[in-house]
Amino acid sequence: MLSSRCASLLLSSSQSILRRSIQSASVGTSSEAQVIDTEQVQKEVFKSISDEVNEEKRQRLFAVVYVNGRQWKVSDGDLINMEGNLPLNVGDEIKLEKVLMVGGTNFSLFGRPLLDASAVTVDAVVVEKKTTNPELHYVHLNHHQTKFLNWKSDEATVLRIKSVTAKQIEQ
Amino acid sequence: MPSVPRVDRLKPIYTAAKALNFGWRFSDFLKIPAYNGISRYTNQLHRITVRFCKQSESSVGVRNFIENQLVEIGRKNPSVVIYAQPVRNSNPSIRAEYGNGRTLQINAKNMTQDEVSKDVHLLFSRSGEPVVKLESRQSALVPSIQGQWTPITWLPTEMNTEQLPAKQFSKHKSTATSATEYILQNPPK
Repeated sequence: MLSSRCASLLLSSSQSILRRSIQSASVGTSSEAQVIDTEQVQKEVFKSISDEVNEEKRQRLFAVVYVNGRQWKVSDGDLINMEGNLPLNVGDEIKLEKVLMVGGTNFSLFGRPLLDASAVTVDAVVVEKKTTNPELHYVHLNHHQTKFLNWKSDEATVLRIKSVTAKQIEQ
Repeated sequence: MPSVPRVDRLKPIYTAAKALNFGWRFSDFLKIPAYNGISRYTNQLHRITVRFCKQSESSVGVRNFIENQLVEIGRKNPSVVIYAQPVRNSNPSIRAEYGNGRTLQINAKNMTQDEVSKDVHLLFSRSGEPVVKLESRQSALVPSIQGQWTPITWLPTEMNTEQLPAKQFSKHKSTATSATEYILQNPPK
Protein backbone atom coordinates (compact mmCIF):
# COMPACT_ATOMS: atom_id res chain seq x y z
CA MET A 1 0.00 0.00 0.00
CA LEU A 2 1.19 3.47 -0.85
CA SER A 3 0.58 5.07 2.54
CA SER A 4 2.40 2.36 4.47
CA ARG A 5 5.41 2.63 2.17
CA CYS A 6 5.55 6.40 2.60
CA ALA A 7 5.04 5.98 6.33
CA SER A 8 8.01 3.64 6.57
CA LEU A 9 10.15 6.11 4.64
CA LEU A 10 9.11 8.89 6.98
CA LEU A 11 9.78 6.74 10.01
CA SER A 12 13.35 6.04 8.97
CA SER A 13 14.07 9.69 8.24
CA SER A 14 12.50 10.92 11.47
CA GLN A 15 14.39 8.30 13.47
CA SER A 16 17.69 9.58 12.12
CA ILE A 17 16.69 13.15 13.00
CA LEU A 18 15.76 12.09 16.51
CA ARG A 19 19.00 10.19 16.91
CA ARG A 20 21.05 13.24 16.00
CA SER A 21 19.13 15.43 18.42
CA ILE A 22 19.59 12.92 21.24
CA GLN A 23 23.33 12.77 20.60
CA SER A 24 23.60 16.54 20.78
CA ALA A 25 21.70 16.55 24.08
CA SER A 26 24.13 13.96 25.50
CA VAL A 27 21.48 12.31 27.65
CA GLY A 28 20.69 8.61 27.69
CA THR A 29 21.72 6.20 24.95
CA SER A 30 20.49 5.35 21.47
CA SER A 31 18.60 2.36 22.85
CA GLU A 32 16.32 4.77 24.72
CA ALA A 33 15.42 6.71 21.57
CA GLN A 34 11.77 7.61 21.16
CA VAL A 35 9.75 8.56 18.10
CA ILE A 36 8.23 12.02 18.59
CA ASP A 37 5.70 13.85 16.43
CA THR A 38 5.71 11.24 13.67
CA GLU A 39 1.99 11.55 13.08
CA GLN A 40 2.21 15.28 12.51
CA VAL A 41 5.13 14.98 10.08
CA GLN A 42 3.30 12.26 8.15
CA LYS A 43 0.16 14.34 7.89
CA GLU A 44 2.06 17.37 6.66
CA VAL A 45 3.94 15.42 3.99
CA PHE A 46 0.82 13.61 2.80
CA LYS A 47 -1.10 16.86 2.66
CA SER A 48 1.58 18.63 0.63
CA ILE A 49 1.82 15.74 -1.84
CA SER A 50 -1.97 15.63 -2.15
CA ASP A 51 -1.94 19.34 -2.92
CA GLU A 52 0.69 18.76 -5.60
CA VAL A 53 -1.25 16.03 -7.38
CA ASN A 54 -4.55 17.87 -7.15
CA GLU A 55 -6.30 17.87 -10.51
CA GLU A 56 -7.25 21.52 -10.28
CA LYS A 57 -3.58 22.47 -10.11
CA ARG A 58 -2.87 20.71 -13.44
CA GLN A 59 0.69 19.79 -12.57
CA ARG A 60 2.77 17.96 -15.14
CA LEU A 61 3.88 14.65 -13.70
CA PHE A 62 6.47 12.19 -14.88
CA ALA A 63 6.66 8.47 -14.21
CA VAL A 64 9.18 5.68 -14.57
CA VAL A 65 7.45 2.67 -16.12
CA TYR A 66 8.74 -0.79 -16.93
CA VAL A 67 7.62 -2.01 -20.34
CA ASN A 68 9.22 -3.98 -23.18
CA GLY A 69 12.07 -5.16 -21.01
CA ARG A 70 13.38 -1.82 -19.77
CA GLN A 71 12.50 1.30 -17.82
CA TRP A 72 11.30 4.51 -19.42
CA LYS A 73 10.94 7.95 -17.91
CA VAL A 74 7.74 9.24 -19.45
CA SER A 75 5.56 12.30 -19.22
CA ASP A 76 2.56 13.66 -21.10
CA GLY A 77 3.06 13.60 -24.85
CA ASP A 78 6.21 11.46 -24.95
CA LEU A 79 7.00 8.92 -27.66
CA ILE A 80 8.43 5.46 -26.96
CA ASN A 81 9.75 3.07 -29.59
CA MET A 82 9.21 -0.52 -28.47
CA GLU A 83 10.82 -3.37 -30.39
CA GLY A 84 9.67 -6.88 -31.04
CA ASN A 85 6.43 -8.48 -32.11
CA LEU A 86 3.83 -7.01 -29.78
CA PRO A 87 0.13 -7.98 -30.00
CA LEU A 88 -1.03 -4.40 -30.46
CA ASN A 89 -2.83 -2.58 -33.27
CA VAL A 90 -2.58 1.06 -34.23
CA GLY A 91 -5.15 3.09 -32.35
CA ASP A 92 -5.24 0.79 -29.32
CA GLU A 93 -5.30 2.59 -26.00
CA ILE A 94 -3.41 0.77 -23.29
CA LYS A 95 -2.58 1.38 -19.65
CA LEU A 96 0.97 0.87 -18.40
CA GLU A 97 0.70 -0.78 -15.01
CA LYS A 98 4.29 -1.40 -13.88
CA VAL A 99 4.94 2.06 -12.50
CA LEU A 100 8.13 2.22 -10.46
CA MET A 101 8.12 5.92 -9.63
CA VAL A 102 6.03 9.02 -10.10
CA GLY A 103 7.10 12.58 -9.50
CA GLY A 104 6.32 16.21 -10.08
CA THR A 105 8.11 19.50 -9.71
CA ASN A 106 8.38 19.35 -5.93
CA PHE A 107 7.99 15.70 -4.96
CA SER A 108 8.87 12.12 -5.89
CA LEU A 109 7.12 8.90 -4.91
CA PHE A 110 9.03 5.62 -5.15
CA GLY A 111 7.46 2.20 -5.27
CA ARG A 112 8.82 -0.90 -3.58
CA PRO A 113 9.20 -2.15 -6.20
CA LEU A 114 5.96 -0.95 -7.84
CA LEU A 115 3.46 1.73 -6.97
CA ASP A 116 -0.15 0.77 -6.43
CA ALA A 117 -2.09 0.52 -9.69
CA SER A 118 -5.03 2.41 -8.21
CA ALA A 119 -2.89 5.39 -7.21
CA VAL A 120 -0.98 6.09 -10.44
CA THR A 121 -2.36 5.85 -13.98
CA VAL A 122 -0.24 5.99 -17.14
CA ASP A 123 -2.30 5.92 -20.34
CA ALA A 124 -0.82 5.43 -23.79
CA VAL A 125 -2.00 4.96 -27.37
CA VAL A 126 -0.32 3.05 -30.20
CA VAL A 127 0.37 5.50 -33.02
CA GLU A 128 2.51 3.45 -35.40
CA LYS A 129 3.72 -0.03 -36.18
CA LYS A 130 6.67 -0.25 -38.51
CA THR A 131 10.02 -1.94 -39.02
CA THR A 132 13.33 -0.86 -37.59
CA ASN A 133 16.21 0.33 -39.71
CA PRO A 134 17.99 -2.66 -41.28
CA GLU A 135 21.25 -3.48 -39.53
CA LEU A 136 24.07 -5.46 -41.08
CA HIS A 137 24.81 -8.87 -39.60
CA TYR A 138 28.05 -10.16 -41.15
CA VAL A 139 29.63 -13.51 -40.32
CA HIS A 140 33.00 -14.50 -41.74
CA LEU A 141 34.44 -17.92 -40.89
CA ASN A 142 38.17 -17.60 -41.31
CA HIS A 143 39.97 -20.28 -43.38
CA HIS A 144 36.64 -21.84 -44.29
CA GLN A 145 35.68 -19.77 -47.35
CA THR A 146 32.36 -18.98 -45.67
CA LYS A 147 30.69 -15.60 -45.38
CA PHE A 148 27.15 -14.68 -44.41
CA LEU A 149 25.79 -11.20 -45.00
CA ASN A 150 22.27 -10.52 -43.71
CA TRP A 151 20.31 -7.34 -43.22
CA LYS A 152 18.25 -7.72 -40.05
CA SER A 153 15.15 -5.68 -39.34
CA ASP A 154 12.85 -6.04 -36.36
CA GLU A 155 9.29 -4.92 -35.76
CA ALA A 156 8.78 -1.65 -33.94
CA THR A 157 5.77 -0.18 -32.15
CA VAL A 158 5.60 3.53 -31.38
CA LEU A 159 3.64 4.48 -28.28
CA ARG A 160 2.37 7.93 -27.37
CA ILE A 161 1.96 8.60 -23.65
CA LYS A 162 -1.35 10.37 -23.25
CA SER A 163 -1.47 11.18 -19.56
CA VAL A 164 0.28 10.53 -16.28
CA THR A 165 -2.08 11.08 -13.36
CA ALA A 166 -1.89 10.34 -9.66
CA LYS A 167 -4.74 10.29 -7.20
CA GLN A 168 -4.68 12.10 -3.89
CA ILE A 169 -3.05 9.70 -1.49
CA GLU A 170 -4.42 9.05 1.98
CA GLN A 171 -2.41 8.40 5.09
CA MET B 1 44.43 28.96 -59.64
CA PRO B 2 41.38 28.98 -61.90
CA SER B 3 40.42 32.24 -63.50
CA VAL B 4 37.22 32.40 -61.46
CA PRO B 5 37.92 31.07 -57.94
CA ARG B 6 35.12 29.04 -56.38
CA VAL B 7 34.26 30.20 -52.91
CA ASP B 8 30.95 28.41 -52.39
CA ARG B 9 32.16 24.85 -52.14
CA LEU B 10 29.17 23.82 -50.02
CA LYS B 11 26.65 24.65 -52.73
CA PRO B 12 27.10 21.52 -54.90
CA ILE B 13 26.85 19.24 -51.88
CA TYR B 14 23.79 21.03 -50.59
CA THR B 15 22.12 20.94 -53.99
CA ALA B 16 22.77 17.23 -54.29
CA ALA B 17 21.49 16.65 -50.76
CA LYS B 18 18.30 18.54 -51.49
CA ALA B 19 17.73 16.45 -54.58
CA LEU B 20 17.93 13.31 -52.48
CA ASN B 21 15.01 14.51 -50.32
CA PHE B 22 15.33 12.67 -47.00
CA GLY B 23 17.39 9.77 -48.22
CA TRP B 24 20.64 11.37 -47.07
CA ARG B 25 19.48 11.59 -43.46
CA PHE B 26 20.81 8.36 -41.99
CA SER B 27 19.64 8.93 -38.41
CA ASP B 28 16.83 10.95 -36.94
CA PHE B 29 14.87 11.42 -33.76
CA LEU B 30 11.68 9.54 -33.02
CA LYS B 31 8.76 11.60 -34.24
CA ILE B 32 5.17 11.21 -35.41
CA PRO B 33 3.62 13.59 -37.94
CA ALA B 34 1.09 16.19 -36.77
CA TYR B 35 1.51 15.27 -33.08
CA ASN B 36 -0.71 12.27 -33.60
CA GLY B 37 -2.08 10.78 -30.42
CA ILE B 38 -1.88 13.91 -28.29
CA SER B 39 -5.63 14.40 -28.29
CA ARG B 40 -6.88 11.55 -30.47
CA TYR B 41 -5.34 8.99 -32.74
CA THR B 42 -5.92 9.76 -36.43
CA ASN B 43 -5.27 7.31 -39.22
CA GLN B 44 -2.40 8.66 -41.30
CA LEU B 45 -2.97 6.61 -44.45
CA HIS B 46 -5.01 8.53 -47.02
CA ARG B 47 -4.89 6.51 -50.24
CA ILE B 48 -3.90 3.06 -51.46
CA THR B 49 -3.48 2.27 -55.14
CA VAL B 50 -3.26 -1.40 -56.10
CA ARG B 51 -1.89 -1.86 -59.60
CA PHE B 52 -2.12 -5.24 -61.27
CA CYS B 53 -2.46 -7.07 -64.57
CA LYS B 54 -5.49 -9.18 -65.39
CA GLN B 55 -3.68 -11.98 -67.14
CA SER B 56 -0.02 -12.15 -66.11
CA GLU B 57 1.29 -14.79 -63.74
CA SER B 58 3.09 -12.34 -61.48
CA SER B 59 -0.19 -10.70 -60.45
CA VAL B 60 -1.94 -13.85 -59.24
CA GLY B 61 -1.46 -12.99 -55.56
CA VAL B 62 -2.64 -9.43 -56.00
CA ARG B 63 -5.69 -10.55 -57.96
CA ASN B 64 -6.59 -13.09 -55.28
CA PHE B 65 -6.14 -10.41 -52.63
CA ILE B 66 -8.42 -8.02 -54.52
CA GLU B 67 -11.09 -10.67 -54.97
CA ASN B 68 -11.09 -11.89 -51.38
CA GLN B 69 -9.97 -9.14 -49.03
CA LEU B 70 -9.88 -5.70 -50.60
CA VAL B 71 -13.61 -4.97 -50.34
CA GLU B 72 -13.68 -6.01 -46.69
CA ILE B 73 -10.67 -3.83 -45.91
CA GLY B 74 -12.30 -0.88 -47.63
CA ARG B 75 -15.49 -1.40 -45.68
CA LYS B 76 -13.61 -1.49 -42.38
CA ASN B 77 -11.56 1.63 -43.17
CA PRO B 78 -13.90 4.23 -44.64
CA SER B 79 -11.34 7.04 -44.31
CA VAL B 80 -8.92 5.43 -46.77
CA VAL B 81 -9.36 5.81 -50.53
CA ILE B 82 -8.61 2.54 -52.32
CA TYR B 83 -7.92 2.35 -56.06
CA ALA B 84 -7.57 -0.86 -58.04
CA GLN B 85 -5.97 -0.20 -61.42
CA PRO B 86 -5.79 -2.99 -64.00
CA VAL B 87 -2.93 -2.13 -66.35
CA ARG B 88 -1.97 -4.55 -69.10
CA ASN B 89 1.49 -6.16 -68.91
CA SER B 90 2.51 -4.23 -65.80
CA ASN B 91 4.29 -5.30 -62.66
CA PRO B 92 1.91 -5.45 -59.69
CA SER B 93 2.58 -2.74 -57.13
CA ILE B 94 0.93 -1.29 -54.05
CA ARG B 95 1.29 2.43 -53.49
CA ALA B 96 0.32 4.18 -50.26
CA GLU B 97 0.00 7.93 -49.73
CA TYR B 98 0.10 9.40 -46.24
CA GLY B 99 -1.03 12.56 -44.55
CA ASN B 100 2.41 14.12 -44.40
CA GLY B 101 2.74 13.88 -48.16
CA ARG B 102 5.03 10.89 -48.41
CA THR B 103 4.41 7.97 -50.73
CA LEU B 104 5.39 4.37 -50.14
CA GLN B 105 5.47 1.83 -52.93
CA ILE B 106 5.87 -1.93 -52.66
CA ASN B 107 6.68 -4.13 -55.63
CA ALA B 108 4.26 -7.05 -55.33
CA LYS B 109 5.62 -9.16 -58.18
CA ASN B 110 5.10 -12.91 -57.70
CA MET B 111 3.72 -12.38 -54.21
CA THR B 112 1.16 -14.72 -52.71
CA GLN B 113 -2.10 -13.49 -51.26
CA ASP B 114 -0.82 -13.81 -47.68
CA GLU B 115 2.26 -11.77 -48.44
CA VAL B 116 0.20 -9.07 -50.12
CA SER B 117 -2.17 -9.03 -47.15
CA LYS B 118 0.72 -8.68 -44.72
CA ASP B 119 2.24 -5.81 -46.69
CA VAL B 120 -1.09 -4.00 -46.92
CA HIS B 121 -1.47 -4.37 -43.17
CA LEU B 122 1.99 -2.85 -42.75
CA LEU B 123 1.04 0.07 -45.00
CA PHE B 124 -2.06 0.68 -42.88
CA SER B 125 0.02 0.63 -39.70
CA ARG B 126 2.69 3.04 -40.89
CA SER B 127 2.58 6.76 -40.28
CA GLY B 128 4.47 7.99 -43.31
CA GLU B 129 7.73 8.73 -41.53
CA PRO B 130 10.74 7.15 -43.22
CA VAL B 131 12.44 4.21 -41.57
CA VAL B 132 15.75 5.61 -40.36
CA LYS B 133 18.12 4.74 -37.57
CA LEU B 134 16.86 6.32 -34.38
CA GLU B 135 19.11 8.58 -32.35
CA SER B 136 17.16 7.54 -29.29
CA ARG B 137 14.24 5.21 -28.79
CA GLN B 138 12.44 7.91 -26.84
CA SER B 139 11.55 11.53 -27.40
CA ALA B 140 9.91 13.91 -24.96
CA LEU B 141 7.96 17.14 -25.29
CA VAL B 142 9.41 18.38 -21.99
CA PRO B 143 12.91 17.04 -21.34
CA SER B 144 12.83 17.34 -17.56
CA ILE B 145 10.19 18.09 -14.95
CA GLN B 146 12.37 18.64 -11.90
CA GLY B 147 15.18 20.38 -13.75
CA GLN B 148 18.86 19.67 -13.84
CA TRP B 149 20.84 19.26 -10.64
CA THR B 150 23.35 22.00 -9.89
CA PRO B 151 25.81 22.29 -7.00
CA ILE B 152 23.52 24.83 -5.36
CA THR B 153 20.47 22.55 -5.51
CA TRP B 154 19.17 21.50 -2.09
CA LEU B 155 21.49 23.89 -0.29
CA PRO B 156 20.05 25.40 2.91
CA THR B 157 18.72 28.92 2.49
CA GLU B 158 20.46 30.11 5.67
CA MET B 159 23.68 30.34 3.68
CA ASN B 160 22.35 33.47 2.00
CA THR B 161 22.58 35.56 5.17
CA GLU B 162 25.54 33.88 6.88
CA GLN B 163 29.10 35.10 6.55
CA LEU B 164 31.03 32.25 4.93
CA PRO B 165 32.97 30.18 5.91
CA ALA B 166 30.75 29.10 8.79
CA LYS B 167 31.32 26.10 10.99
CA GLN B 168 27.74 24.85 10.88
CA PHE B 169 27.79 24.45 7.09
CA SER B 170 31.14 22.65 7.05
CA LYS B 171 30.16 20.06 9.59
CA HIS B 172 30.60 16.50 8.41
CA LYS B 173 27.33 14.59 8.50
CA SER B 174 27.32 10.92 9.38
CA THR B 175 24.92 8.40 10.85
CA ALA B 176 27.64 6.31 12.48
CA THR B 177 28.54 6.95 16.11
CA SER B 178 32.04 8.37 16.40
CA ALA B 179 34.40 7.59 19.28
CA THR B 180 33.94 11.05 20.78
CA GLU B 181 30.17 10.67 20.82
CA TYR B 182 30.50 7.21 22.35
CA ILE B 183 32.70 8.47 25.18
CA LEU B 184 30.36 11.36 25.79
CA GLN B 185 27.39 9.01 25.97
CA ASN B 186 29.21 6.45 28.14
CA PRO B 187 31.55 8.43 30.42
CA PRO B 188 34.26 6.32 32.12
CA LYS B 189 33.72 5.67 35.76
